[in-house]
Amino acid sequence: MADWSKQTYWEDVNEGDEIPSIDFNVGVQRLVVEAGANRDFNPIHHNTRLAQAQGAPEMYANNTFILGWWERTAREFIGLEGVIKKLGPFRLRIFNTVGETVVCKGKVVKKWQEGGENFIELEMWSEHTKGISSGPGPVVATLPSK
Amino acid sequence: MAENTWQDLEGAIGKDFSGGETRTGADEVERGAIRKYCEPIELDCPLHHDDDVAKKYGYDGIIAPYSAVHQTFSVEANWKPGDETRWPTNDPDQLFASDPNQGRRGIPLPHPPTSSGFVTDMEIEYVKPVYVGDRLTTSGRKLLSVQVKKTSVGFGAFMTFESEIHDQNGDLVARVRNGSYAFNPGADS
Repeated sequence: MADWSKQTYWEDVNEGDEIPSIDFNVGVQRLVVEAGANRDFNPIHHNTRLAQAQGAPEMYANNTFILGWWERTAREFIGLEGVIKKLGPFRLRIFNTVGETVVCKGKVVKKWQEGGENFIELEMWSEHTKGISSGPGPVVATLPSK
Repeated sequence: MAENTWQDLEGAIGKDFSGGETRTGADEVERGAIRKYCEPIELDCPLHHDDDVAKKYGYDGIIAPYSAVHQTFSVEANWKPGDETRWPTNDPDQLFASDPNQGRRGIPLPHPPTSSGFVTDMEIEYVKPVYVGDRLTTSGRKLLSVQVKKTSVGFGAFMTFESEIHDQNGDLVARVRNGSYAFNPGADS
């Protein structure tokens, strides 16, 4: 569980810093809860037979779920004063299939100031037992200054 | 009429296939919908559930998670009062029956018929926070790129489209660029 009393400041961030990773276990029920929440009812995300008919090895996480993993991982790093400006572009490389534990990771690759705001760019990706499943791709956010 | 080719699609890069039509989310952004969205992600950031905290950090109230803007709060209803049933058989694999008011609208894409597809890329640029009570409308479907390719699942094309999401005041909320792969499973060409 995140400690929201902690705040990351722009001055404390360095290019190359790794951000804390988060594990997401992908089970059938979780995919169903996600589909109901984000309204993506494509059966490839909750029906093994139909997912396999389209060439996937199993039902797999939809793109909004993956974006949510990235958002949570980034949000817990940038804290409540951070503002997310852009997610992606990121490529879905291999399926995040049911039964996997997907680990969302990232590192700071760039920091700059522009228009009175303090920007960072995170390079983020998700991986599981088969390798990197999505990304690496950028998440751009602003941080407060001390 | 001759069947479209993949070259026809490549020649359409830059064209807006929305036909000028827009799609408005089925509901206003609701507090309960935000909570449900956060559940499977286990996103406990108080900006999404605690008005006092959100206001302390400069917002007017709780905001929707950013990743929820392009799909969750922008899609139309699957069924609405007065519609015919969307599940007319007991086939365990049945999908929503097609509804002329709900299907893909706008201008048909000029490429050979395909039977399958999935999302491959996603990029969302956020311009303005989305609040409880906002109603989002998606407009535009501009074709940005095409890559015809055989993959491990079949033959088809990777396509990238750009659209915009506005709130009920007409303010730009986000720009979305999403990629997809339309294909025929097992095909070589």
